[in-house]
Amino acid sequence: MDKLNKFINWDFQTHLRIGALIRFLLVIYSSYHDRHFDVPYTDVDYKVFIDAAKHVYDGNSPYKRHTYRYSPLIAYILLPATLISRCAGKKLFCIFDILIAIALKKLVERQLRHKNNASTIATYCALFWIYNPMSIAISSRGNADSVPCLFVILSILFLQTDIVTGLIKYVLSGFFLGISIHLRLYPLALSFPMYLSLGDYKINRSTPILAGLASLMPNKKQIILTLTCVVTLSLLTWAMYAMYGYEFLFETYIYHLFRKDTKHNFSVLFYYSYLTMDHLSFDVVKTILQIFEAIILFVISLAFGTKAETLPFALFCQLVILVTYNSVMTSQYFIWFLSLLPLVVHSFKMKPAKAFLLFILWLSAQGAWLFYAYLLEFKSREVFIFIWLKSVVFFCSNIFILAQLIKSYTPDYGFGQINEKSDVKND
Amino acid sequence: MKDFTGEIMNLSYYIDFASDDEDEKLIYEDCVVGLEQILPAGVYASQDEIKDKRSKDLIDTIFQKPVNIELPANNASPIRVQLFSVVKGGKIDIYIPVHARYHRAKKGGGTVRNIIPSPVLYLMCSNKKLDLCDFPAAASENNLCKNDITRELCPWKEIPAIMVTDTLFLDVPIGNIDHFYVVAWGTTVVIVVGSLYLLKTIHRYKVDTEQKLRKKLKT
Repeated sequence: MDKLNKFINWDFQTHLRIGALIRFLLVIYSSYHDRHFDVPYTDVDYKVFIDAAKHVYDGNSPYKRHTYRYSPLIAYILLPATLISRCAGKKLFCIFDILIAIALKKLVERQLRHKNNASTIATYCALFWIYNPMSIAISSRGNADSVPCLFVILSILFLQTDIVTGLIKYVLSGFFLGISIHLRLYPLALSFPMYLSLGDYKINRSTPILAGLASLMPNKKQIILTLTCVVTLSLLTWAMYAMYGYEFLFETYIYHLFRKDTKHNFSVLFYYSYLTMDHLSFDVVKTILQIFEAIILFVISLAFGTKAETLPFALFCQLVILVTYNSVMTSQYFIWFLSLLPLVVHSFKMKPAKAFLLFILWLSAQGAWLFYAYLLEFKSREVFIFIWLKSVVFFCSNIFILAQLIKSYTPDYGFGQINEKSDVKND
Repeated sequence: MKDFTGEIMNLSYYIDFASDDEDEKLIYEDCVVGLEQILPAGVYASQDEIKDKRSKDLIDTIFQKPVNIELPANNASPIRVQLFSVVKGGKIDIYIPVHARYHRAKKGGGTVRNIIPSPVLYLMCSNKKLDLCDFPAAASENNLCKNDITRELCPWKEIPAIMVTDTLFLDVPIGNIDHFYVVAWGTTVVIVVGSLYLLKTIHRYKVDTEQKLRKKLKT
């Protein structure tokens, strides 16, 4: 235990170096693993990205590569992989990972800036990302999800800190938010609470209607954030459309919006979608799911998004809901909310044993699903109903865990180690 | 060829060209083998995966048309794939990874059988070695020679082969339509109950927070 404490208390730069080393070693290992084992270490999508980058290098559209369903920006980012080495793209994703850790630490430091040990707590929080097996695996396997995650975090960083002062910070925040939405659609859901957090809403039962309506009018900061985000997203979309036409719009956005993947996945909707494949003109169950999803996202925005100090928690909860209620759920989507976990983990007033149990519950629910998926894929057993039951269990466990996190959420709790600058407080 | 189960497997080809006869073996040595395999609509091979995971003796693979690996079986078409290898020591031993597509669910569930037909075997040898054998002078119609090459000039000759395995098939499990009402209602109930529980938790949290704030302000 002492050794663990000593390790955790090393300085942040050392942890960054260790995190980078682990990732780069795994990138090197991935080349060996892919040559000698049947199940590859490298993500299937990495090959798609590299092929698309090669097409771009040859002056062609990245969409010449079948199943390339991303923004052309990802192919541009991976151009070095066509010139330097095949692994260069994975190393780039690892660098994005490390940058995320640095941004997260800065954000938490600013969140707790009035506390004496803010830097220490911020380091602890960043460790949740640096040593997260999921983030290590995602980047070293060549999955590009760390790229939009970084832009989301940069957007929050400029919105919530004074690294840049004045109205320019909202321009930068909107700019990075626009890029992140262009890369992946999910940050669109985060834009509403980010917008609300800049407002000053003093509405209660005794507020006159006109005064209440007036306070809902957008202020300068909100207008700048919205305009910059919309302009950035529009310019990027227009530029890519001008270069690649309708194919860009379809593959990057339309396909994902109307995606009907009936293969087994974690989603609670999977078996229902499979049984009704091509049969339904109006999907009642999916509509109910989407209505509840929209309501919960809206309620979370109002409950936690209207104050700057609780905004990170609103964003974290929104991403958990987006993933849990998605009609297709795969492991790589978990990185969306795991990238924001370091911003809120210090605010959960919860015994470590309970936190550990919740973590085990989350893992076990996935493990149970994976067992039946293995029986289906490798043993050809008819276990669809069991896979569905396990996806129900996983859905319920996600809801239960999120509810426990909401109940234990205490802003500025700081792992119970908060030292106020004027007096000492230990829980 | 081998039987296989599961959605992910290798389709293997082991062909013996009279490897126990030293004289006859020489005829086939270093000849190029072309295997034309039709995969039924319920089974597919991925061009990317074959490039990455093919057997080392497989020198090339040609797909007649690009393969959409995401299509379910009812929307897919059979795939014609040509595999090429070189006879060494009177034998070839190659494999390609194949996968089962998702099949439409049926009443009662169960499995759907996909029959994989036997491949057609072609040989192309140098120095007209195959003229020593009793093959027709002109090649049979095949897809290995380009359209502008006449049958007389086509170097590929179809070779009769003796299959030593039974017809290969792949039984793919499918969903059970009889589960529909349980699954539809179960999914709906879980979504509604889970969502209401979460909304209640958020509401409870906000009420408790407000109460704590009021208490703090009073003191």
